[in-house]
Amino acid sequence: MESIITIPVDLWPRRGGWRGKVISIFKKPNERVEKGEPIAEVEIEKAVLVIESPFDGVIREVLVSPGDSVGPGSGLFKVEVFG
Amino acid sequence: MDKVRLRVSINDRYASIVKLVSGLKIATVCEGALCPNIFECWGEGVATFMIMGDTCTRGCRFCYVKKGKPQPLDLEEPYRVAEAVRILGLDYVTITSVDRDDLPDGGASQFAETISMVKRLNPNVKVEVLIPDFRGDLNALKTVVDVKPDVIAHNIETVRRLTTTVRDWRAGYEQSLMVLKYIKVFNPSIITKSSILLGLGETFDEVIEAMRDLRSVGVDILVLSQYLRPSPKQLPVAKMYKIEEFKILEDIAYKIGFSYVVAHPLARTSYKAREAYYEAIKRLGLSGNAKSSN
Repeated sequence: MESIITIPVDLWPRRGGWRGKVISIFKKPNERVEKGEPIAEVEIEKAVLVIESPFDGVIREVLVSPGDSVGPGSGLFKVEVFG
Repeated sequence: MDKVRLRVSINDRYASIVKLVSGLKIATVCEGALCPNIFECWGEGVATFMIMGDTCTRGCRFCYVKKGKPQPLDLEEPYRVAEAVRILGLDYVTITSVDRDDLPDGGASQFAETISMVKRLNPNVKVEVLIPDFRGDLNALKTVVDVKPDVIAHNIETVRRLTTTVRDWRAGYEQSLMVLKYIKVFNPSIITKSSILLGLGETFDEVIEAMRDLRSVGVDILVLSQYLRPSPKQLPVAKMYKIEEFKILEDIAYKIGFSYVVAHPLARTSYKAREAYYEAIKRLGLSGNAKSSN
């Protein structure tokens, strides 16, 4: 099953207006990813957010590049999910 | 300037808090202030409720909470907060608010009603409130003190010299010290607490002066934390303190006489509040039958 890893919308859920910038991407297409593994970093004014994978799978496509502006719900990776 | 790294980890307990606070329409300061500890606290099933809406009448220049004209008071809110405490199974709850300068008592009666309702529905729960200054209105303050929360926190936020730069014009360094002093005058058995944000341009000596001032009005628990700019609209960070500098200030604070000190870059007033309270009362010799851990 294919799925998209996004920046969680439940991050500060009722203050969803924040934006950040992708500063690191730790995975490439065809690499395996495990649930809870850091996959990207997003810099916001207050901190650097280390985004985790919400499931086990294989990266099929990287949807962002360093420098891209992102916010809650932005897609980061297309993933083939195991199970 | 190196930024703090936050691991975005959303577990089932975090998701259950999202559902609960949204469903009950209770604001949290965790969201309102973009608190960096939200992943840890919500992941452990703990949130800090923010009563009287999500819009503050003041314009403090470090704070991300929405500013503007607040909504009318919701008279069912005390019950909903009490219900949330029950559903979450908390034995220690922290409640704060936006400032409500639009209300004649600054929101003191809503605080009192919320504390009373939480205790009525959850008789064994300890209640910590982080209150505004009520513009120095001692009658309003007494309304809160009289319902006997276990801890009352009120923050001076910064050192004397920077108060007018950092806080809203209606706030005041001396006014905040007076609030903290009168909590103890009205009821000496209530534990008091205050926070100082570091990194706004203060000197080391000014921090020590502020700590002495807080202790001179009987404050029991001190929180020292690093200011992190929430957005470009707030004040820039003047300095990122090192962990060793927090440790030095913590040691000085204990020498000054605080019962408990929380000194950490990511500490916030409600962070690890339960632990701070139980440690403080133990050191004050007040622990009695109090439960010191889960």
